[in-house]
Amino acid sequence: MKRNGVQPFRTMEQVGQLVLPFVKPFHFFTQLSRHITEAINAQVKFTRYNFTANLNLRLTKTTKIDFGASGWISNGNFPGASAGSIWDAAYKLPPVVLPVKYSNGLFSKLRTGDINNPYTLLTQSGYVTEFRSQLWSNIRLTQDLDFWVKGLSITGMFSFDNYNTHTISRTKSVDGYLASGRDANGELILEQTQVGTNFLGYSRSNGGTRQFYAEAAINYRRTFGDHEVTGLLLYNQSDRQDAFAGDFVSSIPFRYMGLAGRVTYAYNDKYLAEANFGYNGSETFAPSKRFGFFPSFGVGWVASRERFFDPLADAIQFLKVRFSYGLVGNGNIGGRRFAYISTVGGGNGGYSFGANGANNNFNGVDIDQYAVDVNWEKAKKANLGLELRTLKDQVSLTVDVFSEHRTGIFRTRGDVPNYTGIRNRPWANLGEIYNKGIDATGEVNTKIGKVYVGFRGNFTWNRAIILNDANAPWPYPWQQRIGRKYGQRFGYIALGLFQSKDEVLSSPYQAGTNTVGDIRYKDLNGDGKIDVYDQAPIGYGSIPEVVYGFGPTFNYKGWSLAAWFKGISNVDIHLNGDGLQPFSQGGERGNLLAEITDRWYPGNPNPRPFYPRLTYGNDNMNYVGSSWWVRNGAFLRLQTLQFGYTFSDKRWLKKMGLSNLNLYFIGNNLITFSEFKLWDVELGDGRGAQYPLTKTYNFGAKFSFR
Amino acid sequence: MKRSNFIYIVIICSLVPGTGCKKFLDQVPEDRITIEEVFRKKRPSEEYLANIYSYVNDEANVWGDWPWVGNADEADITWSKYPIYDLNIGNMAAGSVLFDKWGHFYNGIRSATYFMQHIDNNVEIRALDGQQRIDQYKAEARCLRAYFYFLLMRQYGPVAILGDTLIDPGAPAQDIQFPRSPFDVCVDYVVSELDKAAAELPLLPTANGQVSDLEYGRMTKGIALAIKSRLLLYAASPLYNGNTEMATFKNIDGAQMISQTYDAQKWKRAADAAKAVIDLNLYSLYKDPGGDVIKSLQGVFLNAWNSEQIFVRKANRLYEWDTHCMPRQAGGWCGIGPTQEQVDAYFMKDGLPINESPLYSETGFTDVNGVQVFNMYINREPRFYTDVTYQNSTFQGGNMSAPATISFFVSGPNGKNGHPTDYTRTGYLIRKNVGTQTNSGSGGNGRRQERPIILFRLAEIYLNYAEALNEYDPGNPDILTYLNLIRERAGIPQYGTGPDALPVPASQEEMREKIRAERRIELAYEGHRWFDIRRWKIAPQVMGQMHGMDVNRDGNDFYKRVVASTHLFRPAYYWFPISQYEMDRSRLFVQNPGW
Repeated sequence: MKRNGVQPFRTMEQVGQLVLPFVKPFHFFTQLSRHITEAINAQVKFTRYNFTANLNLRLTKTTKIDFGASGWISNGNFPGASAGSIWDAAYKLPPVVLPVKYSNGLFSKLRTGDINNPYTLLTQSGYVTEFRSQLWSNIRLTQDLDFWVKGLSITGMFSFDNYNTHTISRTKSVDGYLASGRDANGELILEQTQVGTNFLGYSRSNGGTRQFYAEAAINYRRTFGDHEVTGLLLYNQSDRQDAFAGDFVSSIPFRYMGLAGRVTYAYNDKYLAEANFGYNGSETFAPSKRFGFFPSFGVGWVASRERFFDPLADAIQFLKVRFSYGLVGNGNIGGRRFAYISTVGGGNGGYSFGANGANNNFNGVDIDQYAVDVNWEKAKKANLGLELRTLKDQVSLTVDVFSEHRTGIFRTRGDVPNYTGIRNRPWANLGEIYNKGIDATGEVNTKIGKVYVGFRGNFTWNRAIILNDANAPWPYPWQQRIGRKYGQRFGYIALGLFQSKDEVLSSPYQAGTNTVGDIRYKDLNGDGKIDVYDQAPIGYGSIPEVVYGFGPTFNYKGWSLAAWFKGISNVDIHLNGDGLQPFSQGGERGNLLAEITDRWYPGNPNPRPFYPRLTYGNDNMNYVGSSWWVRNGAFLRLQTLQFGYTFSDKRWLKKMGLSNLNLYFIGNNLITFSEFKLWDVELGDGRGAQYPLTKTYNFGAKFSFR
Repeated sequence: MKRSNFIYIVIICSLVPGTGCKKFLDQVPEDRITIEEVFRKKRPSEEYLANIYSYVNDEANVWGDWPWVGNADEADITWSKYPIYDLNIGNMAAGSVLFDKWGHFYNGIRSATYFMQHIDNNVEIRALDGQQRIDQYKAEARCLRAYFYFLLMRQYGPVAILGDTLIDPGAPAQDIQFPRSPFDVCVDYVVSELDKAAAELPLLPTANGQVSDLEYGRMTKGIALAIKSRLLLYAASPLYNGNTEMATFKNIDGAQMISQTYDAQKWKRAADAAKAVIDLNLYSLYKDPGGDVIKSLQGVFLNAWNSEQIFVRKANRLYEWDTHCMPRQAGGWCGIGPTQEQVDAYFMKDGLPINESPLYSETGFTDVNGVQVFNMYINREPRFYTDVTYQNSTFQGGNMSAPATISFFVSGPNGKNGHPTDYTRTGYLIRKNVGTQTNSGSGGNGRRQERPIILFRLAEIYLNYAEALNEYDPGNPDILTYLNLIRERAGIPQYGTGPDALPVPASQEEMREKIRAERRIELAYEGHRWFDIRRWKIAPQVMGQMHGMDVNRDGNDFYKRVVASTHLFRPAYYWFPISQYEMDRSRLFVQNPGW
């Protein structure tokens, strides 16, 4: 909560700073560590070591072995309460209701069980240590078979990945008290509202996966005069196992295997053609449906190499048009695993027989999930692209227009009536989505005077429309999900605030107590009441349609400067949650945003304040999902700023055995431009009760050895 | 050269997968219980059958789960936080159906159909117990399935009859559409299923040919015939028999959902069905061995496994019913009480209704063991004293260590002033079927007086028979015979025979009124009244404002008839609506009239 106008207690000020979106993470950590050292000696910290190793061996002139291993190890120390619960407590407990600690040193807590003191959660809840490690390793052998068949080579790879996490929680809670007054001697009258464990407990949790992956491929590449031919045949299989599976079915390794092939032909680098196929197998499907065949093809034409293009060669150095079309299958369908088998469970329950003291009890047994005819999800993809380079190769542009028609998306059926008696909704490959979009990348590299100047940008727009969601049709056309974009938000349409009591009486019926200053909604079906049938699409949804980025780079002698901006558009943020709605359960619960001053009051000339009429409790429809609470979520962010100097060809470098030394500064997430100012715009829907994305400043040096 | 040859041969060999290609993806675990396995063995199949039984209705929770007691004119339930409150104020629509059991019973129907289609091949049962056991289990499933259809029909009217079809979960939506069937078609189907089941079911619970207490609770021939009796009685009643008010209730193909022509033969079928149960000679009205009338009336419910019970559910939550009906003085929640209308329905001890008996008075008080009792409650029939806890009656139960006088005055120990929600709005509490040994309320030790919940008992069959016979063959002596058996057990003078006999009702209309009045008292708070006022089409007259004593007052001001609450009835309320969820997905359905 920002400190406009309200003077919090001095100790709460320190807690209040913790929940402000932070500029300086170091500031936070030093604050926090100071608090923690008061209670326990643990420090909040996170350390991570990354390593990478690459080894290349040439066994013979034609045989190569590459061995690579990389990974990381991290160790983290966190407070016993999760970040989410601390934020939640800061949002739920108004800072003016209780002090952090009473004058006699005891911690405060309300009687309500689910509102906690954020200070005690942060500093008095014990600690959690998390150890994680990730290893990726692979070994690849490549054998050139030129001596046998010219242009042929084979390669094989085997990889082993391992991820482990190990968490030790030593958590506790402290006693909480509530003061109701002072007695005759001036001492606080305290009631114990929470009995804490007061000693650190112990619990452990583990997780981990291991994955084996093997691949073998035959490559062919040969040029016959103007004809260039390549071929590839590749086989792969993977086996991933969850090391700490919670149930029998998840403990079975996840396995895939596949065969893929590709043939390409290029004539004079001018006419290009390519054909692919994939023959993939997944263990999720019934034996007769395990393998799917997925072909595709592509053609390309480099127009700039045509003879008729010669006059334009000065203007456009390279122009290529390409088109590809293919069928792709998805076997990683989620949902029920092995959905072609029915499962048996306890049903609706058991029953007891027996009279006069005889007891004859049975548990229940019934089918849990029915076997369904599950199959590969399929997608037909088409892509039309244009590449061009112009201005003496200084400017390049790539534009792609794509469409994807996905069918057979595996999801639960919502169109089965209850009289079928099927207890759990069956799964089926019925979902269908059509997705189309455009993607463009441009790059400029030029030299102005002695300075090398570059500029890069990209832009993507796409929209996915739902064609079938395996649900029953909605009663009204504005409620239909089919034909609308995927992720479309639905809610009531807010028309404004009631301006007079007459307006309330003449408007359609809204649940609860409505009077001047409450939000007025639109009655779409004209039935005189605002209910679920009046919910229509509002705004875009939380998935952006437009994603773009751009950035310049400058190089002058040894100096380099680069910046990258990223942005999204056609997206919005829906505000909701405990703490956003003021006084939702009375005065003792729920923090307030600073925007509370921007509310309706009698005589407020502003027809669109942030808050409507404030009330205790939740006795009308002001805080239901509606367009009133939807804000534009577009932003442009300076994601990276990089600045550095490279020393090269210097005598003192050679003396140290270095060929180059690069000193650099990288800043991440430095500035954000957005209409949305309530919290970090990239946190999305809700009330912003998360740790915001941090700005970081890195300094580094890169040494290249001779 | 040689070295590289050797190397690449080694590499190729090691790259070939160790196991066969296809077997690599064969991941299905072989040792899980499958549904085929369930029907190969005896115990899992019996558990499957027990799962079908689990759908049998446990109607103890009358405030949140089953609306019949709280939504008729016999009782009122105080709390506004429960769905029964919303139902009474009319706060229900197709988009938000309360007490919706549609999907629940269709789940049971499907399970029963699946069982019937797969139990025949159970080798283990055949080896251990023989084919007759398989036939018996199959008949039990058939009887249960028919019962579930009946439970749907009484609440929703005409339903979709699936027969022996098991709808394929993978079939597209347009291939799994069923229409609702006209009510008489539904009745004929259920009756034929019950007859088929009754032919195979034993008379008494048996195991391997021996009568066995262990099997008590399984469907028997008597249960199947009792369900048939109630169903045919409903089907013959004015709501379903020539009901011209429902002329516009048509099916998707234009057929009338409710028959438009009166058929007296329906009453005959109902009478025959009830007689069939009686002729089994298996059941008899429960009477206390010592001859005490009060103990007889209470023992019907509290004396487990007695001779009057036909179909009971052993596992139930009657202890919750007990606690909700007990006064706060006993640690109960004190909120389920008879309406004044129901209190007025009880006879006097001379067997006459209050508007005919000279013994009735609504003024003055009588001293009973040192306590002043309002004259409205003096000289009433025994069922009044076993069924109703009234002002200044004596009660002991729950956490009470000794009997005490119960008061509902506003400032009294059970009154409105003492608790925000736990007080009776009518000034009465239900005492019928309240197990006083249950002590699970406030300050209790958690004790529960366990007993089965009665779904069908012989008294109802007698009343079914008398009612149906009176409609079909008025003047038949059997009508009086069975009506009088009820009255004799209830300790009140009979019609035309016995001590202090009352005159025999002169006409069919008068007999009908007497039978309805007897049914209203005998089957009070057992979930019959809700259906009776609808099938007799008297609901628009009897529903509406419910009265009680003035619970906002003390002393003499308490004993005034005031409006206690309103139980709304609109013409649409004859049946529950089919939920909007179901209507959206069932393109061949028509909604119930008025919804």
